Amino acid sequence: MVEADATEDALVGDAARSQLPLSHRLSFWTNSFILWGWVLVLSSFLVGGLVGKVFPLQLSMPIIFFGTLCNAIIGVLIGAAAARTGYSSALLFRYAYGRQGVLLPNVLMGLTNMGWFALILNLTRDGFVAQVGAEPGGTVWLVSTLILGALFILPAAVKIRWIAYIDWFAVPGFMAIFLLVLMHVLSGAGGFTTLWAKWYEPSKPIFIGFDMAAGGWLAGVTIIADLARFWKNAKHAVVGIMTAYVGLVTVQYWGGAIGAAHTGEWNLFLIAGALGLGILAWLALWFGAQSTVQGGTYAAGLAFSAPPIPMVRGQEFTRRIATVGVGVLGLVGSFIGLDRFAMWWVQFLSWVVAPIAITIIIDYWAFPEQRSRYEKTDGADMNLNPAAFVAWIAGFIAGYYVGGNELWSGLLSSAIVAGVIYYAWMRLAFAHGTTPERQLFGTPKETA
Amino acid sequence: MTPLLWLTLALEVLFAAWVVRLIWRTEQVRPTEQIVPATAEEVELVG
Repeated sequence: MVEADATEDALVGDAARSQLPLSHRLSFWTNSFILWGWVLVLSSFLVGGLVGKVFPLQLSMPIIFFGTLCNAIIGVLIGAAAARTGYSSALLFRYAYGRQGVLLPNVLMGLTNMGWFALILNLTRDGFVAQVGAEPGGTVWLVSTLILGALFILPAAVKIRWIAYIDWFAVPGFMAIFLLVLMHVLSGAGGFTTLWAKWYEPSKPIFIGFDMAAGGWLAGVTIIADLARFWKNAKHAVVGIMTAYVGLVTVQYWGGAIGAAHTGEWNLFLIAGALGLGILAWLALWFGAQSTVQGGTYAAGLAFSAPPIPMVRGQEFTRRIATVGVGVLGLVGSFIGLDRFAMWWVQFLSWVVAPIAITIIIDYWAFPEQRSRYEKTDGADMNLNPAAFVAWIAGFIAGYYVGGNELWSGLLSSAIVAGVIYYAWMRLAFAHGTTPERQLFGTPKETA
Repeated sequence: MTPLLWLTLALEVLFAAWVVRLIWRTEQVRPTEQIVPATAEEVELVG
């Protein structure tokens, strides 16, 4: 009996194709460390620094808080749904997008994660190569790429608990080095009040600053279900996600903005290097990279191991194969220029992702009578939901036009347009006791 | 920061508080333990 239970546990693993049972959930602190590790990364300082270069501190700090609180609101709404249902992002999305239609958000989010994998791997590797004075393209360069890439993949492939083991030391390590550098910057600048009083004319409208701040972590909060479902209930998810986004992400962005207000540039790694911190500077870079990319690889593995992707020898084996597969893709991508694709792709990301996030939130939270669908494993009642696809396309176009021409916030425009279309169409369908798919294509019997 | 922007920020904080209250109440009305399977043996694969 004990043997049978152990086999059952091993087969379920991290539940890539089912609800995550309560017995497989993590403690509040363990899962919080996983999320904190996920949000601590060098690119967050770069976003904060970018906002800080455009706006003086008196503007950049409230704008950043506005953006990170927006991320937190999206995060708790999706994360609470995930904790309550036990579904990963890929399984949660299928209720709104349909059993086949879910491939759209899964592929978009999975490939985005792999782009980040390649980009952050190359940044970390280049930092190491510069630190040890090795030749780019040489043996040290090649071996360090392979080792760093393998370290990103391994914990993600084994089990989520291994991500936590790394984050128990990566999170305090990263924070300690960050605070050290921040204190040094503040003392060099003559204190916080001196920087606060420093004024320069903003070179962009305020809503562009909001888009920069909120857009930086929008993709991360949209796939937060992959981590949030490991909390025991929605209350834990709310506290954990709020501390991560209102707390740590805000502090990181503010740190970046403070650095920019003082030096006109902000890059934690470069400043730590200039302070003579040597290998410690690279270690901070690696802590942030490892704790974030292992989470991204884990999420991409879940995206590519959920239905309609076929299952191979049980759900946990399928997840591991998919995680190693996407990790290898990211690793190969780092050699063939996937990082350059990521840099190009990031300019569209807010407009691509905001419609997905709002659609999932509305589907779960705005229709209480439909929420019970999420509690049944066969509750996704459409193959492809046209309402979600039309909302996504219209949201993207609105964001592209409004944000691209700097008329207003592209992120909010795409979310509002997609949200209104999705809500109106779904409400109309429910009022007639049908679904958007049946409205357009009829039932299988009618079309036969 | 203009008064309008401070007002927008205050409204966002109020909205965040409302969202937290919504989730808290939903969890109290129907706790997670009543929704998800307790152990691996009770898990059903999504079709």
